Amino acid sequence: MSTPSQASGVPAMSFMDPKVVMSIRSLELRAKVVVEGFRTGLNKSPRHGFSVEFSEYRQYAQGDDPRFLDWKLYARTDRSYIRLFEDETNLRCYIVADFSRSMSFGSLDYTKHDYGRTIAASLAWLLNRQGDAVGLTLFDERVQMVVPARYRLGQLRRIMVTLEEPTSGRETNPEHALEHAARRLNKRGFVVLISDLLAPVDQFEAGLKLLRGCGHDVVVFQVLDPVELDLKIDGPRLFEDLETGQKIYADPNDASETFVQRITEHNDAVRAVCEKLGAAFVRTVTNEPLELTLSGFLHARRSRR
Amino acid sequence: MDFLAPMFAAIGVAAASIPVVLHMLRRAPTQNMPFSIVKFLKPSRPKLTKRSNIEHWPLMLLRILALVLIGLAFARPFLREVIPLDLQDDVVQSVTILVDKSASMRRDGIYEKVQQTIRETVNELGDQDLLSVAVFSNTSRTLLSRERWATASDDEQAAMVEGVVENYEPDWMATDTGTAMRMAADELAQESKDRRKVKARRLVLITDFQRGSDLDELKSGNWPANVDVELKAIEPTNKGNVGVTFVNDRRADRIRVRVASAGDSVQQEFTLQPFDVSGAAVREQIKVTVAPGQRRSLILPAADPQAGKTIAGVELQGDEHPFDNVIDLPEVENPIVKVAHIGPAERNDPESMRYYLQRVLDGNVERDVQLIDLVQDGGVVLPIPMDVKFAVVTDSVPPGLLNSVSEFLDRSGTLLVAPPSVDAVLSLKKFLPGTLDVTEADVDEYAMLGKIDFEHPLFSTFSDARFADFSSIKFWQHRNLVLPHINQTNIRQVGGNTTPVSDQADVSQSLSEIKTAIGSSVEDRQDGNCFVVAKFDSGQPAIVEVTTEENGRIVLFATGWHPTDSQWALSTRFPPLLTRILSLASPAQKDQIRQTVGDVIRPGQLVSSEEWAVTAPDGTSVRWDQSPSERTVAAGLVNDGGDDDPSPQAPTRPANGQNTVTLDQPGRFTVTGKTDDGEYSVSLIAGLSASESRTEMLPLGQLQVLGIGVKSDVEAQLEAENSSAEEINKGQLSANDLERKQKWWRWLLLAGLGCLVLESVWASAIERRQAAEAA
Repeated sequence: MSTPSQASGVPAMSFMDPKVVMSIRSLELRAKVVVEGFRTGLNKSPRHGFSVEFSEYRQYAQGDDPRFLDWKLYARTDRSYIRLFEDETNLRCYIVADFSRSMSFGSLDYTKHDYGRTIAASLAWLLNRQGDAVGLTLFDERVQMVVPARYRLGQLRRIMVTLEEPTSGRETNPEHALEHAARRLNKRGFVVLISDLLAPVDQFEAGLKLLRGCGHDVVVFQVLDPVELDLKIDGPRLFEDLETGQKIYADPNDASETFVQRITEHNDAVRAVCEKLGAAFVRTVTNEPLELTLSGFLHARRSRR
Repeated sequence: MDFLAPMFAAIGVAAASIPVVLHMLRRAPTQNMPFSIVKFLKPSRPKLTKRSNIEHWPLMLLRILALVLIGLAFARPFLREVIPLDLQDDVVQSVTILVDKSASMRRDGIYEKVQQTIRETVNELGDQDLLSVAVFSNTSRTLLSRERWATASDDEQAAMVEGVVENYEPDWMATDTGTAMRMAADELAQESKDRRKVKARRLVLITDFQRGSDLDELKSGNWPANVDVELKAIEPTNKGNVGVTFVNDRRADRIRVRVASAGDSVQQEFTLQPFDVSGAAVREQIKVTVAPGQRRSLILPAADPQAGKTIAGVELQGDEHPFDNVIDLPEVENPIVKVAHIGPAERNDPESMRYYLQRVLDGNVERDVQLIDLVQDGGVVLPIPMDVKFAVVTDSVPPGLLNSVSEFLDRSGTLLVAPPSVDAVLSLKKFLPGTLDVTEADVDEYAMLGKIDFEHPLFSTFSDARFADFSSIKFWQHRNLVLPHINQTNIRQVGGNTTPVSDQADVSQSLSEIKTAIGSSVEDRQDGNCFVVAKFDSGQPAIVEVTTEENGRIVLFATGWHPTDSQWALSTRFPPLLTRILSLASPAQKDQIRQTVGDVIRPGQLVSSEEWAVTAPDGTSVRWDQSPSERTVAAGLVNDGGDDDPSPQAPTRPANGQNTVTLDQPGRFTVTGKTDDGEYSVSLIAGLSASESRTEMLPLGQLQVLGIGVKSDVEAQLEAENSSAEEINKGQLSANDLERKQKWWRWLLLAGLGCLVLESVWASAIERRQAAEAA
């Protein structure tokens, strides 16, 4: 399992303690703090459009619009080529954030929900400053709220306000949210999924498959609490599931081994699905610096190109 | 050490083990932790923990001690010690016997039982005991005070008790048991403070304890803790009762009554019999079916005024307890006043008197007046209808009508005679003084009214100088009414000041002389009375009033008001004069007032007079005038209460000059006041309180529900049976007295609470220390 710090190769101690970042009440300010130093330039649009700035030729294929045929070239070469131009629009990105009740767990001073929405806010802020159209989708077992991807005045503010929503729902099902994002993106775009991905892997896989099938780039952030990886808790407890309400009496001393084995298998399965479908995967633990998470994101993006 | 309630001691000791058991209890850790992926957890078997070591012994002991002490306090401990009773030998009990004398106590069998119960209660008293006897209905009154009892010898005490028993008689009032009990208890409690010897206070309530008893007063405030109540409920020979009450109906021409059956009634079929003023049955009986505990209201069929029968009351028959079975009813007011006319029935002849009479009566805005012609075309003569109280004669009365006129006068009717000729007067000579001689007057040009008695009711409304001028009315001709002996005391000249005319020989005779003069020649009207109300300027009588023995009245004019005789009908004085005569003859009945027995009235206000008299249904009367020395009071009407003397009290004159009368019996009261216009009467109909008809007995526990410790007869009997066991301990104080004297429970309770406070302080200190160590 690769963490962002390992992926970026930057020592973790040089970043701001996430506890300090999370203590900032304003989500927008928090995002600004995290993103500071990461504005590394505009993303190149992932697709070619039809614009004034020529990009390259491509051989005509059945189904292409004949309006873009280069007739002069056809006259010269007797071959059908289509002129491709640099797309005028920047990146269209949808941040799909998990707001299910399982995200409200946190063994630290803050929850996975706080951490995840800080990532979402930071990414939104970063992309908006780059001139990209950013949208937001909140989901639990179904899609709860949608902010359509736009690049306009107030869009960032709308996203920030939407991210203030509390957790809800009795289940986590990213499939619907990913399907919804696929329907929203009529052009090839970019989808960032932020979730603990503790739902069944097949649901997640179905949604991801649809997105990738549409040609969208996908980056998956799996947000986990440290306890969710090692179950280091003192003494036996009556554990109550945040979503289903199921109660199980367990002694971590006895149950940790099995737990670690099961969570590791689950996480490996998630990673394997991402790799299989060509989606970038970043696992982040809530005690890690947020900057590292963003570095991991950029690293994953860079590696995708 | 003994306990009054040892069970609480056992409970306290048992409760002492609770802290230990709670401490030793095996329990599983139940620390909850919300978690996100419970499905990956492998369930463990819950581990029970058992704490066998007590960490804080002092705390544990304090808790145990507190529970034990509180338990002991509730057990009411005391130490047996011998206190000779001779130190307490001056203990006496103070007893108040409160006897119900409300209307419901009039039921059969109750009277004798009440007397017997009073005697039995008095016989149970010791030599030193103090006794007070009071009776109550809607108010209470002390018949025998403790002071009189304490100072009386044995013989005198026996005589006093016998006097109370013999004089006991139920009245007609409602029952206010609550107020009577409260007053008696307060007096009893106050008594106990004054007399240190008194150790037991007992209120013996002798009553039928009917559902209609008002116990509201007992719902507020606390009952004195040192006053015990012993309820001696008296039952009638036969249970059940049905009562009839009047119900106000907005429609004036209806009489509605309500028949209410008590819950313990057996019979359901009854009859209602209306009766008239004389008590004779009117119309047929009405069958009524009322189930026990139910009420039913019904409208009585209208009486037949034509037949002279009006419903004055109604009696319920078929009930075994008649005390609430007869009610008087207000007379139904006839909305139309009928006036009979004896004379030519020509309606549109302006030369006839009827023409003007019709117009005056039509202009009466207060009431609708119907003029009935008794002499029809073709010589047909009708009798004067029974509901007519005012008749006008404008011509000779046919001989066939004389009997009817006689009956009319017997019914207190008023006959106005305006003779157009001498014959018209002579046709009525039978009803006039025998000495009266009538001739046609010799009038020189015209005559005027010379002297009028403005103090007479006929002219009292004109007594003000602005209206007293009758000089403009000219009489062309009139009859000369010659009365050799006439009573006339104070006649004022028309338009002038009052002039005593006692010097005139023809008007100075006394009333008795007049009666003698009239009686010598009139067969049927020997006690008649004759007044000259007005005279012509020639000195001859113009208006004469003759009253008969049965309050019938003849107003005899010496002339007619038609144009042939005079200008009277055209005068502005004529309509008010006729209207005045009509209102005196047929007064409006609006002054019938419904009251309930027990209500206190101010007769002076009712009749607007300082001089009044109240006549009760049984014929007794109370009279009041301006001079206190002249007042006369009849027994039974006025009840000022609050005195040892059971006889009724004469009314006392309050500062404002008014006085009150209590309506103490059901029936029709008449308040008569003397005013300048004469006598004015108001009829009051007092009905029994409806609550008195609800005679089913209240549950005996009703007083206990209200927080009053009551011993019913059964409990008292059981107590008497157990008294032999108490005789054993007669040599010393009882356990109750010992405990009450020692009062150990207070100290134990205080110590227990102290332990709890100490434990709380100690435990919180330990907790704080542990928290500090953990931090």
